[in-house]
Amino acid sequence: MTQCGFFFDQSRCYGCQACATACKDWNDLEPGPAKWMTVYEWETGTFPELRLHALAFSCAHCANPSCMAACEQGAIFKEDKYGAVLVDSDKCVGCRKCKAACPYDAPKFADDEPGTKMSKCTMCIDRLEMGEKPQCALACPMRALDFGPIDELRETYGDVATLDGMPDAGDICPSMTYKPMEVKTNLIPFDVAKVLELNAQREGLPNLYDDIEEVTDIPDGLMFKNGLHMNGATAMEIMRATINDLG
Amino acid sequence: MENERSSKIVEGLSAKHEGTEFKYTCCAQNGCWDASCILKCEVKDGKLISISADDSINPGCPREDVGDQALREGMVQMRPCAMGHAWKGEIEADTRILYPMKRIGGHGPGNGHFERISWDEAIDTIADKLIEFKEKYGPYFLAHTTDDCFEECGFKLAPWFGVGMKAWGDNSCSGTTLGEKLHLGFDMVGAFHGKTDLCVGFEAPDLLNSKLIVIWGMDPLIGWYGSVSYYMKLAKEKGAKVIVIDPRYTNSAETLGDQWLPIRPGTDLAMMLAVAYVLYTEDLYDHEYVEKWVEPVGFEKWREYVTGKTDGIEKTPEWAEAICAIPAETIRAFAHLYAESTPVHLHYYYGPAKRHLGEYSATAAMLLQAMTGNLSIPGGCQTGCSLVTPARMPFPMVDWQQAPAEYDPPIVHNIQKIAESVVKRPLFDAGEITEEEYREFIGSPPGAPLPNIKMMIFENNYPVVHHHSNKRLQAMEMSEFNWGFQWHMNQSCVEYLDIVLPGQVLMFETRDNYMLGSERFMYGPNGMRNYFLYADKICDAPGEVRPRDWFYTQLAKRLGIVDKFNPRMADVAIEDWDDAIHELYHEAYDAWAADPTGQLAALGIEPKPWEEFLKKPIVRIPIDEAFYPYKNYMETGRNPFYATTSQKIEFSSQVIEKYDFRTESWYRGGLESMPVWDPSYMEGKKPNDSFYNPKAEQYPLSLVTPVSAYRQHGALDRNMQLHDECYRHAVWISPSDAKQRGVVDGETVRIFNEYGELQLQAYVTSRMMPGTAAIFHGEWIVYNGEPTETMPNGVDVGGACNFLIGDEHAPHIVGDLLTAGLVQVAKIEEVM
Repeated sequence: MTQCGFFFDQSRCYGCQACATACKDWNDLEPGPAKWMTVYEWETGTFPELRLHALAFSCAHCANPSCMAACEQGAIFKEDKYGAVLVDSDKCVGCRKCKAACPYDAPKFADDEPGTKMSKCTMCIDRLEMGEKPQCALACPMRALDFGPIDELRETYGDVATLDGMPDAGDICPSMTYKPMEVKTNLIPFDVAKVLELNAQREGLPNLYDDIEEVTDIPDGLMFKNGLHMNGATAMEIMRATINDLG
Repeated sequence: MENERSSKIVEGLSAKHEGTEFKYTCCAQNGCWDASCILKCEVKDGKLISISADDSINPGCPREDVGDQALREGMVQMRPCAMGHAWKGEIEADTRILYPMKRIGGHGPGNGHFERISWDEAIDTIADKLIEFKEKYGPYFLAHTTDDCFEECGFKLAPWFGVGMKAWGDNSCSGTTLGEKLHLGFDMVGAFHGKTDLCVGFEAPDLLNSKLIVIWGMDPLIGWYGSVSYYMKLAKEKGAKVIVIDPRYTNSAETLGDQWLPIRPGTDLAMMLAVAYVLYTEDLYDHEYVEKWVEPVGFEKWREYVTGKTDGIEKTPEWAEAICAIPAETIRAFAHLYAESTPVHLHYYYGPAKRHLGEYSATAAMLLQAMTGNLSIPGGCQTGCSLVTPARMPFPMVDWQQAPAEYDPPIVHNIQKIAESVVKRPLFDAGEITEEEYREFIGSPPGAPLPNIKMMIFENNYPVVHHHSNKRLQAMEMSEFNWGFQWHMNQSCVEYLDIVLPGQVLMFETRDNYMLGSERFMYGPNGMRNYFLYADKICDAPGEVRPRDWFYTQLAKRLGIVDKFNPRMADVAIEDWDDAIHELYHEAYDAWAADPTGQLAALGIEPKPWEEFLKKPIVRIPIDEAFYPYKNYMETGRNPFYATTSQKIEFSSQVIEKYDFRTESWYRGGLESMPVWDPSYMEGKKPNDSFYNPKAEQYPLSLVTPVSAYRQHGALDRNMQLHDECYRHAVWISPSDAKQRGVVDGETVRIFNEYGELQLQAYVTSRMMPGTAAIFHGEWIVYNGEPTETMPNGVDVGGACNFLIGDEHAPHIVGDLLTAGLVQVAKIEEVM
């Protein structure tokens, strides 16, 4: 077996969802939470110093998949040509133990109904068998994804096992490598305290805020996209975490 | 065992792709930057199965690391965005209109209903009305709400039927086009009409020549999608510095930018004046460039204004900082970096100029690029429309054998004033306003005939994609007879049409010509001129959806002018229509492939036979040297600024100095000859949409309305592969503004002002500056059925941002598509 996997270049991804849309289109998946390729977006920091994180994640096709270990039905297995983690629908009973076991929420369910069978990224094994690459990787407008034997990817891109904000993978050995978002350095001086001071005033009109903490102190629950929500419990939670506000 | 199980899975996955074939097309795109992205469509039995990205070059290469030479040559794929992969959602939507319909009753929700009719009845009715109205009202009764623009008439049969009007202006970059016309002598519309060979655009690989890229009021990953935004990223990776100036921390700010300078909406000009102040007073401008290309009197006049000699106010960074909310130190450092980083691609986009007094900021950006010598060099940017690059190769064109035009419709008003022409006409007829006042309201060219609109044609989402939705709806209600193509039953126009024609999904279900005269040999965008494709018909249309060009040909038959409009297709039956068009394209291709001028051979193009070509119908050649602004003039020693009065870049426009724009131009308003912060005719008042307008006490949030990543203006809105699947339509507000209102993310809030009211979920994000709001444009109307003073049909819970933007221009010039306003956001109080 040659373990294949993905490379994700976070510095190029702007969360446009072309990969996720192309995946669903190729695999004829209905709209909804069964996003075999899932795009997340979250911000860190406060105005005017913030960063926007993006993550396009399908399945890490782990060397030691926790979903497989958790499946009491033996429905999940590791295919032995490319190392894809696949699910045998005939055996799946929809117990969702795989979902609970996977830190990345790679096992997907089309709805919240009990017994709905799991589905997931297949690594586009149908395309691999035709000599093609996975649909998501070919669709990225920014060329942020790559696919191939994971050893080769690590040699080309380095071995970065996770990104800031992602859940701890434990010992599952994800077949992924990453390039993190850029470290940014200001080109010109930018005095944050002064910016916040200037933003409070509005010439003769009432001030926008009296205390800069109004801007920098964000109470829990005010925002949603200020963290990565990778493990939504319900269809609604998953949808909220995996759609953006660009439309 | 595992082999068997995986084989079964592969079989299951492969089943839906068995027996399929591949064809190619591109999106019917606009608003994403017309990128002609290449779609590889999988089809079976006339049905679209899936859409893959371009594989016409570098196939099977996700990262496409093709090396510097290939990048400079533009030998890369044209991959679509999410919209490009989602056309199945549009084609198969259960809201599609499948048959012609007629309206029983009046215009507007609740005033009538539809009945299905035959195509014959639809066409007969429209033909009869055209004949009747021509007799009754003369030639100026008909307005096409999309295509009456760019000084053209949108009614395709106008040249031979003898009715119709033209409108001046555009929906794209109105503020910008005025600035570049008056100060640089570049007339974008004239260029479209072949009146000049000035090309002010640039090709994406030229970005690799830039040392500094300034993305100002621009979110290129969304609004200038395709090769340009991708190459901005590549340029940055190869060492270019990138600064993003915007009220929002856009996705481009994160992905493309080194640094974000948050600027208050509508204050860009203040920062530009402060930058000019530094360049003038510290002598940092490019003397050689200015000496050669800039008219000296105007240059000194603007210096006097900027340095305060004219009005006593020095436009220093310290003056600008409180206006823009950017520290003086930062503005000064920006000016220094800008002055020392040539070549600089400073790109001030259309959006921030599409607001009150937006012409001035658009112009100031061009003047800064001239001062620093970055306007017309490799790696520079003209920062006007930045459109038009020359064709890199000949491409096939069908000879339709249309007769010469017999009627040339006059320009009677501005594209943005079509609704005003309808709404104000009864006041003029009743003597309540004078003819001169009516002309001022509509942007009438002096001496032009007056419009008397009784019939409107719709082929888009007119009321939601342009400012002041309520006034547009009022005009649609008042117009006597309306017709046109619509696509979905819940589209915002439908209930205002007397005859609804079922719209075809253009680049998929027919071989109709693309908009604005382009055929189906689709050229690459201005940013990548090295390819074209034959955008073939992909799948069968549902119901009785028929090609638009077929409809117009049948209408021409009824009007007795088919031999002039479309003689080669006059007798083709609907069953044979698409094949007959295909044959005309085949004929055009063969004529092209014969290479009569030898140009193809010179370019190294070896045309394949037609059938062979169709398997991968894309022709692509390497770019030798990417086009930069004015390249074709700069390299041949011609003067690119020949068309201004002085034949130089005019910091103070001599045309404006000479003429009274109020009475002697179609702009019909005050306009200063150079960019100033406080035009005299404003008499100290703030623009209607200003962050500092006193109205802000009531409506404190400064609203911007960006282009959506998932709609092409108003199209694709109800595409379930996108809406609520990739995105939610929400109002963006800052955490401080949310806190003050007791609002949390995901909560539905009211957004309102004196023009209208919406209800939308709040997206609470530090990506918004305090005191600002954003709603992406193009969302369709959904009334909640509860009328209010501003919303006669109910509050719009769909969220069409243009309900919140008025169309007041006076005393400023008319003609801008306005995209900004002041609003309030409020919590919805629960009724106990």
